[in-house]
Amino acid sequence: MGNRKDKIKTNASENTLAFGTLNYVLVFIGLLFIIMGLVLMSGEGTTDIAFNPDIFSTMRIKIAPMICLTGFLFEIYAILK
Amino acid sequence: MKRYKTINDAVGWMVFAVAAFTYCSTVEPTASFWDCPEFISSAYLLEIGHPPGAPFFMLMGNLFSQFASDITQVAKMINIMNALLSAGCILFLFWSITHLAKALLVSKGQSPTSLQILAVMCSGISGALIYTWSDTFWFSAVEGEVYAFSSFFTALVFWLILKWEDNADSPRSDRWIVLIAYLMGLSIGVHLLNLLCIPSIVLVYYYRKSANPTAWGSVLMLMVSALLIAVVLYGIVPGVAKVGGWFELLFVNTLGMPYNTGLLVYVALVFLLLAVSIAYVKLRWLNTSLLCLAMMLIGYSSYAVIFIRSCANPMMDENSPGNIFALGSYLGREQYGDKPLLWGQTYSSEPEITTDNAGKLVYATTKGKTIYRPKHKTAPNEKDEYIKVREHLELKYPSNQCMLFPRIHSERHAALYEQWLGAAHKHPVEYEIPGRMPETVMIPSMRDNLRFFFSYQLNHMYWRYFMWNFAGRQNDIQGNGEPEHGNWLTGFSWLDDMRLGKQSLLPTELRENKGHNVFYCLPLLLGLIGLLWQAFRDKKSVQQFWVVSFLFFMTGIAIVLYVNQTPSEPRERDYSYAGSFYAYAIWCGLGIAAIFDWMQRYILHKMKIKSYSVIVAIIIAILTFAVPLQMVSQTWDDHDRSNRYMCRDFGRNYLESIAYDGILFTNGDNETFPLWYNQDTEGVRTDVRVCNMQYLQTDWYIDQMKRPAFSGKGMSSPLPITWQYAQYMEGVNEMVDVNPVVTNGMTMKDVVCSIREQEPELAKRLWGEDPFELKTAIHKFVLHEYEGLTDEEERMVKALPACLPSDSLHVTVDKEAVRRSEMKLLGEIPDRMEIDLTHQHRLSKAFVLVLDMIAETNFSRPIYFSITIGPDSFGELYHHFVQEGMAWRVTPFNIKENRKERGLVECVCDTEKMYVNMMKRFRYGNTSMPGIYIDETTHRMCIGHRRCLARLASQLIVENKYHEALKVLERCEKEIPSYNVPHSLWSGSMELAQAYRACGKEEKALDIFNQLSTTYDEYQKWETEKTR
Repeated sequence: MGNRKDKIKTNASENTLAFGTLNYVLVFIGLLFIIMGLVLMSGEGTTDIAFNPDIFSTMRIKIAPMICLTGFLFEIYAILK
Repeated sequence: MKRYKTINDAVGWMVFAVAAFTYCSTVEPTASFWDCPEFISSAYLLEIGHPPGAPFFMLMGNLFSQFASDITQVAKMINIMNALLSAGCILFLFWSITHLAKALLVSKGQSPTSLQILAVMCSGISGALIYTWSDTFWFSAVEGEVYAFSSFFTALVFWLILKWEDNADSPRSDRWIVLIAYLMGLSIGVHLLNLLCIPSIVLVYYYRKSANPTAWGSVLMLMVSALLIAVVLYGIVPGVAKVGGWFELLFVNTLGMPYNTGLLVYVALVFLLLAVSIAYVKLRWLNTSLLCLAMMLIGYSSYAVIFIRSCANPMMDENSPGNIFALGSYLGREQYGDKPLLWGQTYSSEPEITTDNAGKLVYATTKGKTIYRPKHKTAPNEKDEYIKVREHLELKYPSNQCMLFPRIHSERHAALYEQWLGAAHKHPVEYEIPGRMPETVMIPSMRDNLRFFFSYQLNHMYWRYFMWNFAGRQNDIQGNGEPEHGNWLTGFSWLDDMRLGKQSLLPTELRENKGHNVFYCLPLLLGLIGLLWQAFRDKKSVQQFWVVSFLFFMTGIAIVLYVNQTPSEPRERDYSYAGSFYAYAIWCGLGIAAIFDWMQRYILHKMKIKSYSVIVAIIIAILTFAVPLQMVSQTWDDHDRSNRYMCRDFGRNYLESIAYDGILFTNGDNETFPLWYNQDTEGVRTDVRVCNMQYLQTDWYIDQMKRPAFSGKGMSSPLPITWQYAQYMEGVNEMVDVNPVVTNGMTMKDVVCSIREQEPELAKRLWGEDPFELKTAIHKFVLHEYEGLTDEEERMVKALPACLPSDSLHVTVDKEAVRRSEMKLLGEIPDRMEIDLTHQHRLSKAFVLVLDMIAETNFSRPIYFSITIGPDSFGELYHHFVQEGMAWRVTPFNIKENRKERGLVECVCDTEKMYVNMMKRFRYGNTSMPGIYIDETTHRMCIGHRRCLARLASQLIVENKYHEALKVLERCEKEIPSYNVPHSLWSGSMELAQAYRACGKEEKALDIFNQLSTTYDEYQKWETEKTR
């Protein structure tokens, strides 16, 4: 019995906190998206000797920023869920 | 209640639709002037714009740019994003107003009556539409700047805190607060303006949470919010990068690890620490605060985009924030310098002087932060390391030359301050210099200081803009205090004429300016009614009043206090204060609620006549729509930017003036950013290397100019800069003396000549045959590039100061290269090109670099200057300029004599190339479309083009090519017609008329002369009126 009471108590105190477990998980998923976008965005740059056309590749300036943005917008959902 | 919610939502979206329609149908179809072309390219290609950058704007803009059907539509898509975000801002404004109005009109717990619902909706509609169609907000809504997005965030955050107010008692209501913190973190990645909402948010929180809010409590809360802003603005924003810098130094310099190891460890540590503490802290307020901080940092982490993209070295990479130290100063906007706010120098104060260790007099300085840069490696296997470049030093001022609250602080603007103030009342102050008799310095008085604060900073640079939006605007021409340009007015002639002179006597072009908007003070009055009603109605309304007031103050006058503006800004700055006009629009909306409240009390309740409610409803509805509709009838024409392509096309024309693979030196925003936009986003003439002279003074820009750009046929080779990093790095060779006095009245040139006479062998070994050859002068005398010197020679060379050894240098011309270059040959090719520096005492690093490039290329690669660079900013160099369009080409010919012979005032044109460029390659941005809106900046560009066409026509006539001249004149009249760009003396119209006459078109010439004389008669009349 005592055990169960304790459990209810912790639940109640957790309920008044802004985030529940689900929020943390969702925020973490959002972060993963942001990081994935940033990783895909990075790569070799132009040097003093040669221009590197890859800095404007579809992956780096179209797909990667979209993934990043998805992450950032997803965080709003993660907070409110 | 449910009915209210449905109506509130529905009407809100209707207002959104009206705003979205307004902005989408007036949006500029391509880039606009000022920073827009830069922002658009930075979003489309993820390049780096000016500090402090806008990474979240870039991400959103990037998404929208992907909807473009082809590259010419990219700019339009990003503009449409701003139009929609602005409409979103209007939506939240509507809901914020209805929330506030309902809270006052409808007692808590009661269901609103139909009449009350009508009044609340009318309040929202009125305030939202007034803001929709007001001047400043609309301006930012239809172009590719960050201000629309920033306003959206302000509106969203303000609405969220009201939303929280409704839900504050639910158990997990803190989520709303966390969301606000997260959005603020995100908004830093758009613009810092959003932080200014914090006091209002804190007040809402306090009034809702406190059982018995008091005045002292409110004051305390405001202090807390000031602290919060300070923590974010001075702590989190720069601090995150600063601490990151410590980690980087530790890991890279001390532990010898590769670049960015410290940074990664640091980021991981911060998040780990936050995660652990959030997991363990169960105290509600602390847990929420930590969550707020963590989410704000996640929002702020969009800056990683800036860092990563800068590492890729794109063409546009302002300040190269690709290492943590550069990112730190990028975020801290250090290039803009510090302005004193509470205590500091006046414009005439002299810096404190002390003696250094050797007893020499030097300026006293306070040591600021150390500036680090990644080492430029000479071998690829060298270890990563950061080197100290220099220490940031700041001048100190003696305290008797400082004042409290200094508003007239900038030495550079001394003359402009005095011009604004009329006469300054200065008083003498003693100025101590160690070991000398004290001198006196004249310091302006506090009275002048405050006079400037009230008349310029507050009145001219804030209230004038405020009145534009809520009373009316004279015209869209930037005003500097004169009675005919850019003032606010009302539309009531008795009042306007009293303040500004008889407005009906203004010249037609000013009177009929599209930016002339009169609102008869209606929105202003409505706002005043709402403000007073809110301030005095009851206890609850007073709380609301403080919340809105602080939004109004922080986003308006607080900015005025903070930016401490100097006179003669390059453009009108009203866009910075859009937030405070937003707050006032809330009051405008509440004005309707106030009128309803009054009628409810005095008509409905006292008279107790039922049918009056219909009358009340009708009056309210009429008032609601009348004011904003009157506004839009005035403001539509000067905010309708549809069909305007001038910014893009005029930028393109600069590029089209340049020969293949040429170098173009430009100056200023509007002659640089549109060119970048054309090249980067639309891929136009990427072979031309555009180089902004202002940036060329900095090492990061020189680095970029030394890199190749673009690929394939449009490849742009690097600038021919032969200097090594150590020779142009920050703090080195910033200014170079020209032929300074070395010893005993002997100038450098005398010294060099005497060495050549006395020791010709030594001179030859050191400097070759000719020490005054430009290349030798720069590389030997300025950069000290010597090899294999004996110790004695080394000592001798070191004793000479780094400077240019004469004010008259020369380049031995590569004649073959000149012949190959296809430039216009003005007579026989000279053996030498003389570089005359007689009137220059010191040259900037940028200028010396340009000279070095001229020497290095020696006409094997075309070099141009944009015609908007003042020709005299390059000393006598402009005698070598030949115009080929919107740019001057540097040639070996000295045109000084040539010009006198031909009786030409300005530069010589290469008519053949200029004709092809201006007639076949140039585009004129749809300037000829009847009724198109031409604002002041665009007007200036149109005039620049007309002047060029006029010059070309005149020159063709000199060369007896009447047929071509007439064609140019016809083109000019067709593309830049006088119905859109009226003739004036400074638009080259005299030259046009004379050219027409020379071509035998007398009636055309007379027509222009008549237009000119009519305009000048009008100006004459106005001048008499002004002095009356």
